[in-house]
Order: sequence, then structure tokens, then C-alpha cells
Amino acid sequence: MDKNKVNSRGRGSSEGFFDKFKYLLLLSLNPVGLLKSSEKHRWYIYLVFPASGWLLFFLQIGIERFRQGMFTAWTVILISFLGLVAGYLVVGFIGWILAYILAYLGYDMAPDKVIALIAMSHTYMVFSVLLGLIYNLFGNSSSASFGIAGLLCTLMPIYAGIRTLGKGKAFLPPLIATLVGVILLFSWQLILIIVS
Amino acid sequence: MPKLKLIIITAMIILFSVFNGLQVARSGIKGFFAGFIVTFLFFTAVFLFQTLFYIVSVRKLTATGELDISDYQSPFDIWLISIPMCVLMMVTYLFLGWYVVQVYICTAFGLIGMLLGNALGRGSRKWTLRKSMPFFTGVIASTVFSMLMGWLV
Repeated sequence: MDKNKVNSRGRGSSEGFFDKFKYLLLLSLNPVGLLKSSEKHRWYIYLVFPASGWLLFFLQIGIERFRQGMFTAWTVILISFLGLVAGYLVVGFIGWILAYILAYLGYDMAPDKVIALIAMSHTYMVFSVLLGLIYNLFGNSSSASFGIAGLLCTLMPIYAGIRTLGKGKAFLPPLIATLVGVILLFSWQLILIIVS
Repeated sequence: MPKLKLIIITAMIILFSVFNGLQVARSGIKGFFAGFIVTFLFFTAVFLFQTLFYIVSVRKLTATGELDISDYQSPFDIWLISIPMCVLMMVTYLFLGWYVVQVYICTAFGLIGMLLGNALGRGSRKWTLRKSMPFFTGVIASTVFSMLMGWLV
């Protein structure tokens, strides 16, 4: 194989596909690794990840309320769609705000990296809400528990990432993680208010 | 500085206990103080065990060359992640009306245990029980606490 035709992640070959998949898998498990990379990240693609997590979460809530007779089938579809769109936009917005805060505090961090970090931090949330959905399909209702557990797990890589950047500033990571978490929770509340 | 961190962590433990007490009282089977006291004692015991175990382990791992002292993280810094968890728990309880305080407490035990284990070098070099112990104890604490709450609520 002509190595010159294959870049570091091997795009353009069958081997490249697996390399890229492996890279994304490792990145989703350890998003902090993004901070060490020097390349540009296509943040708009990474945002599909949290959007799918939010879609699954609101689908769970929709199914739960449908069973209780509070939602119609159309409302379930609407809330899931709103979750998908809001997941994309809100997480992107949080990433942008965070990049601005970090720049203000003197950390030179490109916004694409910050947005990609926040987006990839949703791995554990996707995993949690997926488990919740399976649990839900067996007739059990605990979407809030799985969603909250997922949200807290999302804060972990963000916390670790800020910690890596802000060495010696012990209060910076918990404060930023709090801000991110509060924005996420209020966005959920907003969607529920819109649909209700 | 460590004193301030310890005060903040204590305040978080008290807040977790207060809100769990409120949630237990809401269920109507046991009163506020039953939930408050059980949560406070259990959380304090987990905090003391995890922190002391971490401090002793760091010394041993450093002495045997398995951990570089420059990687040392203060256990109080790690416990500060209870701040976002506590704030979010209050927001969820007061504004969203989702009464899932126990989910927050159990997740806090699991995640803080994982962070303490990671700081001891869990997953690097040779596996030892010592490095993974905070993670295991976090999971065990989380399970035992949910069983306790099953009894209380």
C-alpha cells in the first residue's frame, strides 16, 4: 500500500475506515484526548452524538407519558424531534459559551475543540439513555433516573478536560461543570414546558 | 485552602442529606430525620473511607515507584465534583419537580470512586486491587445506599 495516499487516520481505504472508527471509539470513551490533538475538528458532525442522546431521552419521556395517557403519539414524535434539534443546538451553544469563557480566562483553546469535547462527552449519556429505553420497553418507568445519571456522567469528561487545562485552579472545573449541567437541565425543562 | 475545600464538601454532604430527608418525608413512610441521619452518616462514612484509603494508597504507590508524585491530585479536589452534582440535585428537585435525590447520591459515589481510582493510576501499568479499590467501594457504596433507601422509602 502506498503510505503516502493514506493519512494518519487512513482515510480513503478500507483499512482507513476501521482506523477512523477506532479513533472515534477511543475519542468517545476519552474525549479529553481531543485537547491534545492539533488537527481541526468538524464540530458540526460531532454534535450529532448528543442530539441522538437527547432524542432517545425525550423518546423515553414521551413513551412514559403516552402510557400514562398524558401524551398522544404525535406528541411523542414532537418531543423526540425537539430533543434531537435542541440536543444539537444547546450542546453547540454550551461549547461556544465555554470556549468564550476559557478564552476570557486566558486559555487558548479553539472553539471547535471545545464543542467537540462537550459533544463527545455525551457517550455515557447515550449509553445510559439507551439502557433506560430498553428498561422502558419492558414497561418500567424511570426515564428521569437514567437521564440524570447520563447527564452526570456527561459532566465527568468536561470536568476532566477543564481540569487538564486549568491546572492549579481547583474551583474552575466544578464551577464550569455546574454551569454546563444547569444549562442542560433548564433546556430539558424548556422542552417539557413547550410540549406540555 | 484545604480547610475551605473541606467546609464546602461538608456543606455538600449536609445538602444531599437534607434533600434526601425531604424526599424520604415526601414518601410518607418515614420522617425527614430518618432520611437525613441515614444519608449523613452513610455519606460521611464513604467520604472518610475513600479519602483515607486514597491518601494511604498514594503513599504506598509512590514508595514502590508505581505512581509519580507529580501526578498527585488532592482527594479534596476530586470530591469537589460534588458541587455540580449537589447544585443539579437542588435544581432538579426544586425547579423540575423530579424527586431523584438518590440517583444523584448513588451516581456521586460511583463517579467519585472512579475518579479516585483513576488518580491512583487505575488502568495503567500492572493491575492491582489497591488502584481499583476506590472504584469498587464506590460501586458497593452506591448499591448498599440504594438498598437502604429501598428500606426507608
